[in-house]
Amino acid sequence: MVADALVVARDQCELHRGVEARFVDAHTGVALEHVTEQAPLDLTANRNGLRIHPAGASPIVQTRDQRHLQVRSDPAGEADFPARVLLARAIIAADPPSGPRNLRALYVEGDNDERAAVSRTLGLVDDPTYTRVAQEACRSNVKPVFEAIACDNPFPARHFGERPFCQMVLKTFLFGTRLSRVEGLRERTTAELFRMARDFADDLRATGRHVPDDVGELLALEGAA
Amino acid sequence: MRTTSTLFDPHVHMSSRTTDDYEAMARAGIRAVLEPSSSGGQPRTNAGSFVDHFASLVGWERFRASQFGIRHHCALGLSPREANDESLARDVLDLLPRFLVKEGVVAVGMIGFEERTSAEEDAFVRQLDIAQRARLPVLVHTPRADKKRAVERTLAILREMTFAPEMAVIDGCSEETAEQVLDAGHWAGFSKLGYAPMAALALHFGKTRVLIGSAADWSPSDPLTVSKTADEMRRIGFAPKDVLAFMWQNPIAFFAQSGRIAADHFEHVETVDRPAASGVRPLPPFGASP
Repeated sequence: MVADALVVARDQCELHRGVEARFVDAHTGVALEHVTEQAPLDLTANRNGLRIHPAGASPIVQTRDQRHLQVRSDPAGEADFPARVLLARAIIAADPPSGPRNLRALYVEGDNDERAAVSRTLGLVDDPTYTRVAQEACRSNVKPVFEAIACDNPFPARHFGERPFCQMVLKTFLFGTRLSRVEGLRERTTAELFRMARDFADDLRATGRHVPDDVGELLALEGAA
Repeated sequence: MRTTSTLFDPHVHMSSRTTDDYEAMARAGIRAVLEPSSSGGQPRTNAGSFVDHFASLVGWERFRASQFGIRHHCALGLSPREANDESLARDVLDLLPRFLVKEGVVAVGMIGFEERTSAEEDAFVRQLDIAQRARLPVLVHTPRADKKRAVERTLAILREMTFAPEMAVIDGCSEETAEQVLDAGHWAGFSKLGYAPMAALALHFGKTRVLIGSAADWSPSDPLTVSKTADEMRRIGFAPKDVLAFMWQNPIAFFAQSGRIAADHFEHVETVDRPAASGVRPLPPFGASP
């Protein structure tokens, strides 16, 4: 929705020369109206992380006309997440061939918020060369990191092979994540996925455990197919 | 029946503890913890191990704590034991600043002396410098053996570096060393001295710049130390507001010097939903899979 070009100060990182980064809010939940003139935050994007610090330090992410990109400093930190996604996209745009390596470096050394932002960003780049880092995020036991790739994100349905996709769907049951949040699920259902869901349900029933409603929801698609 | 209150354990190695401990701590009123980096009992031998250790403290452990409604913070650093491997120390100190900017990091530590070697001193001085640049407070370890000398040298180094005294807590204080530490303007940290002795020390030294922690780790230790010490303090006559000062306001005041936490950050501590902790589990416990 906002297509401001970004220039990141050269002294912070050589990755970010003349970056063109378009902010798409479809998957971030927070619109860029949160970018205001008040309470500047220091946005730092480099290969060490996606940082947002409280007001005080000088912002280093700037619009091309050298206006500082300022993000609302709200106590809930609602603007932090989209800002990080924006920065991750800037890193990709700065050096597309190195994008997968740079994003993976961000992921590996990232805290939970950064890892979730990297995962969310992948949904916006739609490029299979990022599959490795996407699958790593899928293996995370940190629920918000897992959900950032598995939920409301088109990347897995578009680029995961059958096995990783099935594993991801089964993992939503383990986390209690709603199946309806998996994008492109209907298009990716296979006999193998239904078999895995049935086996999972049978195993739970065999030990007297509750079968999550979402398992039934998935199996209902089999009849519909 | 224990009186529950609001407690902050300013020194506890949660990575070495079980979810049963988290559950018991939450029930006892512990709402926030600080986990410093440590050798984990088994010193690490390569820098990559530190990348994973630090990433775990700002990632997995933080999430694990959140499942029990406990805010997890950490201090990152190279422990004195590991500092004696000089080539390892160089590599770790190079990567440390990258991690100090992460969510949940509010201090540098544990740093300081174990055997008082020159390699330990070098790593200590360098990490004090890193902390100053990052504007973070430090958690300083003191050894059990030859403690008095180690504390004297520690205080001398902090003085020589003109390190802001209030930005350093000297942990593992005894009655004798606490005197010097507080006189120098630092914070004194008590841990692993027993509940009654720590309550008595609290009475003796008062609440100015004193932290009481469990230092619970992989060795025999008690993650409910702050709760039991609070009980003992109440038993010997501390008013509830004074217990709160020692066990909640003081840790927040010390770590708030990082500029990254403040008392009002704790108003909404959310509990992330997690598998049932007892009885028939609806699902296998998460994180149990390889």
